[in-house]
Amino acid sequence: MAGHTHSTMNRAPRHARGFPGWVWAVYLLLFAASIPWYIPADAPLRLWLGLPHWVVISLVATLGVAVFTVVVIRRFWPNEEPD
Amino acid sequence: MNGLGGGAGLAVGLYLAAILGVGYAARRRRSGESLAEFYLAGRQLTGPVLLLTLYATQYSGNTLIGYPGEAFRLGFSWVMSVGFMMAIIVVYLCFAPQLHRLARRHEFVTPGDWFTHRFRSPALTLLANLLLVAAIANYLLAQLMAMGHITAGLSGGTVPYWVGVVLLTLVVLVYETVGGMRAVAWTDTLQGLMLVVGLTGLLVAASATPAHLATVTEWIAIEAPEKVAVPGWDVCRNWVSTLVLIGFSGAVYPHAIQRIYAARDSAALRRSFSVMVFLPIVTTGSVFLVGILAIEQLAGTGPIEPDQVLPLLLTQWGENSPILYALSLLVIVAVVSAIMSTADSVLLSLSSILAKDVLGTTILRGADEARLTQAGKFLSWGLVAGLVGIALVPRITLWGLTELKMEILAQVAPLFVLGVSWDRLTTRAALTGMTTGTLVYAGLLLSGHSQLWNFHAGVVALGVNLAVCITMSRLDPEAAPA
Repeated sequence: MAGHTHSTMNRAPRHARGFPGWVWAVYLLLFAASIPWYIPADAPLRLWLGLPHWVVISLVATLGVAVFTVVVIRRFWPNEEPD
Repeated sequence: MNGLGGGAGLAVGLYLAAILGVGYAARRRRSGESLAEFYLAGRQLTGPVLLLTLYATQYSGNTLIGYPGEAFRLGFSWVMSVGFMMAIIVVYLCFAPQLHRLARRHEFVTPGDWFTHRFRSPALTLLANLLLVAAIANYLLAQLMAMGHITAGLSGGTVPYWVGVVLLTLVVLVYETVGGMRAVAWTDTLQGLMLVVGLTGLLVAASATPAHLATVTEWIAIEAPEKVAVPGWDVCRNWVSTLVLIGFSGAVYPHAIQRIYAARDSAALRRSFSVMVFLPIVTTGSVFLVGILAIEQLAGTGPIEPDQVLPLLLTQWGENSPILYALSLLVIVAVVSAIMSTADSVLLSLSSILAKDVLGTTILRGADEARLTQAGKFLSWGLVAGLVGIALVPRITLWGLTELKMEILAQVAPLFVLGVSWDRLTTRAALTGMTTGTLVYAGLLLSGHSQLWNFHAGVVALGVNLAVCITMSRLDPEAAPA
């Protein structure tokens, strides 16, 4: 029933709540760096590895997301604890 | 164009025979007719199989057909596709570890089992399931259309669109009906490997070297400078919106949720995510480059529909040399693999939701699991028959279908992301948020505002949805921390 509230629902598990809060802040920074909002729209074309430089910067930031994710999974994966 | 002729037919034929064989082998490994056995492969998916089934499922026909088309249409800003596929893994981290543990403890089979366990509200479970079914039926439709496009495009029209839709759909139905999730996961493994091989072939065929890329980029800068220019604020806002939309929606695909349930242990999940987070660079990165190279290669071909870019490229390469012809065949098999691996997973998920959450709580309430499993198989065939009927008269591009599906799915995301990680989220807040988000999305779409200030209507609606969830839960005095 729609009227059910927290008193009858199961709350989220209290143990192993998730990853530390700062992890999400780092993700925010990395994703922000992957979007070229900080590069002037009239910047002249520069080629890095055959691609416009802003594309390479975006790809490097995205690679940073992947590497950081592996670190997070290895070091901060929520422990399996009993209820 | 003449298509790739008999070689393509032979390659695809061999591939179809191989996956039917794999499906049959999976049937021999099945132990019983329980829902968990049929829909979750007995919760025994190990690291490599889990990785490849997640990979093959997440990267669909749209990735290989629709994405090069978008790169061709938009230019270099489509590099956003690498980031938004990675965002899906990041969103998984918000809830997957805990959800996997709960799923094993409470024997969840469908996403609805989580909703019922957490919120205990039939109304909420019903609405969430309706949204999931609407979204993934849309997704399945996109795969069926992709089957037709690839068959017609690559055979140069010799094999009609409708034959591709019907033939490939039948193969999926057969191996899925006989083998369930185990057949799907095993065929996905084969399909995932084909995808990697095909993408390698794609890059080689496109000769995506820095020198070639530099020549093409300079050519584009002269002929279509807007496709090379640093994106303006409007594109950046849309980029943010797409990251949010795909990240939140892709993580809550019902078939992806069920793979989290089906993982044998958390180590398998950890290993899969650790590799999967790099796959957007390999996969969407490759098709992005191919779409960019197509801007020059297909210049002068006349007006081109985005969905036709890859079939046209493959046909042109196939005419150039025997080696490129062979590589094109690899790509074709990879494309067919990507389409079928997504179609089978979506279909299995739809069947489980309809059998367990709809029939199992209404006309088949109290029926044993073998009967529900049987009913799910029949439903699959009926559902697919209806969708094939729609796919035979396509009226929208593949990317268009994807966006619609994603924006509906986004309204269900808070039930997983907040539901798992925030114990103060109340049922009333979750239901009101989801209802409001859905209404806002529908209202914006119906009033012709598919985007607001370059943000997708579904993302605006998700913002409202989350705001309602958080505000109502915080204002509820009984929901305060114990």
